[in-house]
Amino acid sequence: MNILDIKNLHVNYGAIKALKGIDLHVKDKSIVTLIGANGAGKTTLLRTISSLLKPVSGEILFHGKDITNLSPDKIVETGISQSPEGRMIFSNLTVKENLEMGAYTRKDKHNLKDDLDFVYEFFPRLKERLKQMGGTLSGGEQQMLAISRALMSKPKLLLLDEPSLGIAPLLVKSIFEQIVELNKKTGITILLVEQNANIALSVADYGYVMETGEIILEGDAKSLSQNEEVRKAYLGE
Amino acid sequence: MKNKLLFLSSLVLVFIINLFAGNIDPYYYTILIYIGINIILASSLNLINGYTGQFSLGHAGFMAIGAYLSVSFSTYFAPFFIESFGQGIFGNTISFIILLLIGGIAAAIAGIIVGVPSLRLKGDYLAITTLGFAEIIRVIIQSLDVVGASQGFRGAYIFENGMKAAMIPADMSSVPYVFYSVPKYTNFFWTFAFVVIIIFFISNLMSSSYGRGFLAVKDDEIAAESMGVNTTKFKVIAFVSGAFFAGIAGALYGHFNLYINPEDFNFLKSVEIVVMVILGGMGSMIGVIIAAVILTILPEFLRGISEYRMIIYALLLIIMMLLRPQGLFGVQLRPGKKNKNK
Ligand SMILES: Nc1ncnc2c1ncn2[C@@H]1O[C@H](COP(=O)(O)OP(=O)(O)OP(=O)(O)O)[C@@H](O)[C@H]1O
Ligand SMILES: [Mg+2]
Repeated sequence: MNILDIKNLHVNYGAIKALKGIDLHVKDKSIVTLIGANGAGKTTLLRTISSLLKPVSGEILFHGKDITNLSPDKIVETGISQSPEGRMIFSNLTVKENLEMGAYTRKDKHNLKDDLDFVYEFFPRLKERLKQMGGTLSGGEQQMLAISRALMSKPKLLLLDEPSLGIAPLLVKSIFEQIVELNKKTGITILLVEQNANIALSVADYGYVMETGEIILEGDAKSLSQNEEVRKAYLGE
Repeated sequence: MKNKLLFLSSLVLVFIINLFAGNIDPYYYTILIYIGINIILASSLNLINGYTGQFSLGHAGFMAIGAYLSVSFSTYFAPFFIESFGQGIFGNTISFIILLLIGGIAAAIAGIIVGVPSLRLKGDYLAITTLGFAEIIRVIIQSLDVVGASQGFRGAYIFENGMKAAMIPADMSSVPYVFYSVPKYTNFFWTFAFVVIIIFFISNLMSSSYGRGFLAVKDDEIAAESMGVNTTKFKVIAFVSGAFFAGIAGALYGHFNLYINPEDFNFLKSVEIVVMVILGGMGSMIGVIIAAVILTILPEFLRGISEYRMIIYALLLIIMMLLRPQGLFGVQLRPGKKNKNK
């Protein structure tokens, strides 16, 4: 059963055609990665799923139900949340308040404490910095916060936009380990956008390769990482 | 509740000071009232520009609407107010509360009309629309004879035959009339009661879950939206509340000065309010209040060179940007974070 089905999705910015008929499917409880060069349209796709952008045509199905025309808050309520590109931490809110903003649409606020404990378990460094302003965190800590904040809405599908961006390699490794752990322990489905194809393909089950608004290649992660073309273009060989 | 008690005792304090305010020299009394009005204007703009990170450049327009509407009501409908509530202290109080609300609500409605379409867009549309809006309001007033057009407005002539006008038309010079001038309702109490009200309004708002919404919108609109925050709603709430208080400030101004002119609410006035907010430090309540006080008093010392006021403001801003870009008191002050466990 697929948790997410995207069918023939077209998105424009004015006259610029950013997505030209995307088809993409994500199996429940899997990790799927979307790789591609700068300007391929990866962020555009994630923003369209979160309903921050409106498609010109096409369909987005969540558990088989059409969610294309829902508002952003309804998308979060149905169970999709995202950790946006560049992290976009609320720099004038504390770490704890940032996390609470993640639970903004939730009705069952009394369980908030359990969920805070849940994210601290994955990213214990956040717990030590609860009162600190978001803007004063290091880049890596901000990334952890962005992911944790997205988790606070208790999503079934987590969208991650370039979690490795601007972070030291060692920390990238540890963050990705937590992402895999999260998927294994809780069964949360993850759609991972990355430019770091190496690490993305090493943790994913399935992958898509995107170029100038189109999917040019797809397959299970292993076979993609062995694919000649992918190796040349994205793995630097 | 501790907060309510503090609020009520502040109002009582303002009331007590008001009992002695009669002894103040009229020149200083006038400056004091203008300080209060400017604090209301600057704080209300701070809610929009400082806390929510939007950029409104037409606050004088909302002030104009508040001033003109409430003053027109208090003069054109003077017989109604006198008949209904009398002219005792009690009747005057009721009349004035109604007139203040008329000014505030009219400005708030204008705020909805201007704000809703432009706040739905991201970017700097708000600065342009509000700037245009304030100029349009001023031009409209300048051509409206019922409020004296560019001559300004002092009161209403109500003729025996039922006609009402701001000036005596030539063909009516023989018809008997009664002239209702703008009643001097504004005093220390009313002005500073609203200073107290807006301070408590903003503190409460910012320490509620709304406050967090405002700050989130200011920090990162897209991130806030992707958390499911209805960013337009928060921007509209801040903008319309700001407009409401600007309308109140206008009504206070009109009922103190007793004469209003479209030029009182020109672009310069809007800029003056923006400068108070920037100088005080966007989003800092105390800083903006102090800046409002300073920028009300300062021109009094510079009377001789008042033509250069704009240049002085510009210089102040440049020096500020160089030396203290966060404003005089631009630490992020977030009032009242204590009473969360209620
Ligand atoms: N707000 C916008 N207005 C106009 N064009 C835009 C806008 N945002 C993105 N684009 C264009 O759409 C295309 C896709 O951009 P997008 O941000 O989705 O790429 P991306 O794959 O996420 O790139 P990166 O890896 O650099 O983040 C690019 O050509 C970009 O210039
Ligand atoms: Mg991107």
